[in-house]
Amino acid sequence: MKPLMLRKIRSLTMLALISTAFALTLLPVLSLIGTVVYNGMSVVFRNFPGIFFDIPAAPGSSEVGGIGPHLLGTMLLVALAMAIGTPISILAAVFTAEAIKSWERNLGRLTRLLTHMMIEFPTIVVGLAVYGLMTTLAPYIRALIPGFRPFSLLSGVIALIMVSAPYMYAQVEDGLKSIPQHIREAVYSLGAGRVLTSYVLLRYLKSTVYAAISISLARMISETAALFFTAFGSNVYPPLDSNLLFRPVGSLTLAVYTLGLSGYENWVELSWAASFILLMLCLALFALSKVVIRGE
Amino acid sequence: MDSVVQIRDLWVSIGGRSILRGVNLEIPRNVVFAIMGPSGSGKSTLLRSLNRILDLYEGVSVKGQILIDGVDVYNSKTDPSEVRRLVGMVFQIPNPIPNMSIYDNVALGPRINKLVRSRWELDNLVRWALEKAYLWDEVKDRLHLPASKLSGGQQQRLCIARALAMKPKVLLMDEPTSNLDPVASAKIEELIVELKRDVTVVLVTHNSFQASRVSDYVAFMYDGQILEVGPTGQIFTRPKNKLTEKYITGRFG
Repeated sequence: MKPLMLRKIRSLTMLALISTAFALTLLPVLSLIGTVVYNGMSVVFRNFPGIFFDIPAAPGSSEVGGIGPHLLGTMLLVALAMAIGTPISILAAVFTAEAIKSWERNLGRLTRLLTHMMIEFPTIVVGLAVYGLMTTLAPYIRALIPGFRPFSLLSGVIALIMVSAPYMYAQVEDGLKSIPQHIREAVYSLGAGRVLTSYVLLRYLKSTVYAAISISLARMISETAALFFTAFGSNVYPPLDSNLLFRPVGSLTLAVYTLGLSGYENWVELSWAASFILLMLCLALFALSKVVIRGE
Repeated sequence: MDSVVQIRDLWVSIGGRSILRGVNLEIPRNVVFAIMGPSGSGKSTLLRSLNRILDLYEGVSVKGQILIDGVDVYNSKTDPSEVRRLVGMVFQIPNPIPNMSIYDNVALGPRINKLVRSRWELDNLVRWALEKAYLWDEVKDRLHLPASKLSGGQQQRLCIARALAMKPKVLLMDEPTSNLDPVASAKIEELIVELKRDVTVVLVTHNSFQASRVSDYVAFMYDGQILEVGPTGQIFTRPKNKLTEKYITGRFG
């Protein structure tokens, strides 16, 4: 055979192999999105807008109802966890990356070691640990707040922070570490103290910070295992009173699991609807983070 | 003589290794003062000790005294930020904040130190600094573009403008032309000579020819000590020290 011929065959074989690999990667992603959209979207549209506000209909009935409590639960959990977790993660990252004195550097190294370890914890164990902690503390907390239960919004928020904060910390810290030393020195040399310097450096890193926040948001929205023992789940709206923090709440992810395994046809439909809403939220956040990074 | 910087018996060690070993130096006002010497002689460390950027490094110990415009730099009651306000610094690598606009880079110092009370005052200060750094005409129509859009030489002049906008008493320059091409370097050298009307320039260079071209006084550093110091003309024509002579004639360094 002529060498040219041989080369063409080799090139075509490679092309075929790469195309197959590409298709194999794309297949699961598309089939996942396809299944969820196929099963979920119609439920959402048939029951619009009640799906976002109603509680689930009685199991086995011909009505579907809605996943209002779960949507509200997810919003409460994520909003509170972000509001508390974001400043903690960013401040810890700044403290680690901008340490000067040797005790600060050592404490920073320890913080980094421990948080990197926390990233590897199975989230179900995090949930269990928070449940254990809350159960132990419950008698004391009840002395102040009589209605307190270990299965509560508060426990859910703590679990979400423990799952998500280490990621945000690691991303922001890596970002700060990657800033060349001469840029940092330039800001210091203009007479900025450490707080101002860190502020200028975080502004310089703003695309990293935004990306870290949106990825954290997506992780929190889609977190399930850590919520089993903490937020616990609920199919009804919690009373919006001062005890809101201390009662169980539902979440979209818990709805997917519990309603989906219930075996009742109308609840399984709700489970698909919850999956669809979750997927859309996560895709939207993913797209948003890409746009933000491209904008830089 | 009216000295703006006085260094008395300065000893600096980093991580247990001694870098500066008993440096004494007086730097007069409104001159270009060059510190030259081979690499590793401690020039950059000396410069970084003046504005306490050394504080940012791990395991640094400083002994001795530095006075800048009457401020006792290493006194425990002195706030490092107060020192850095008196002293501008230009680095070896042009280091504007790349995604910040040209305007904001220059405005950074005045904003940090709250030097201005109105936008109008800030505009004027930014313009003044950019004009001093010979950059205004090149950037006046694109002040709001990110600094990364400028060429290397322009970025270095932007850094000079950024330092000048703080109205410092002393401007430290750490080999400011070593990463630039000859044309850009020549522009910076021209600028350095002009700057001494407004500030005292302390220029660290490993290039003895540059020192001879731009400076009024020169100190020759070797192995953590000042071997010889004096008016540039005198050092380059009648050096007293054998090592200085070898260095300026290009036989080592």
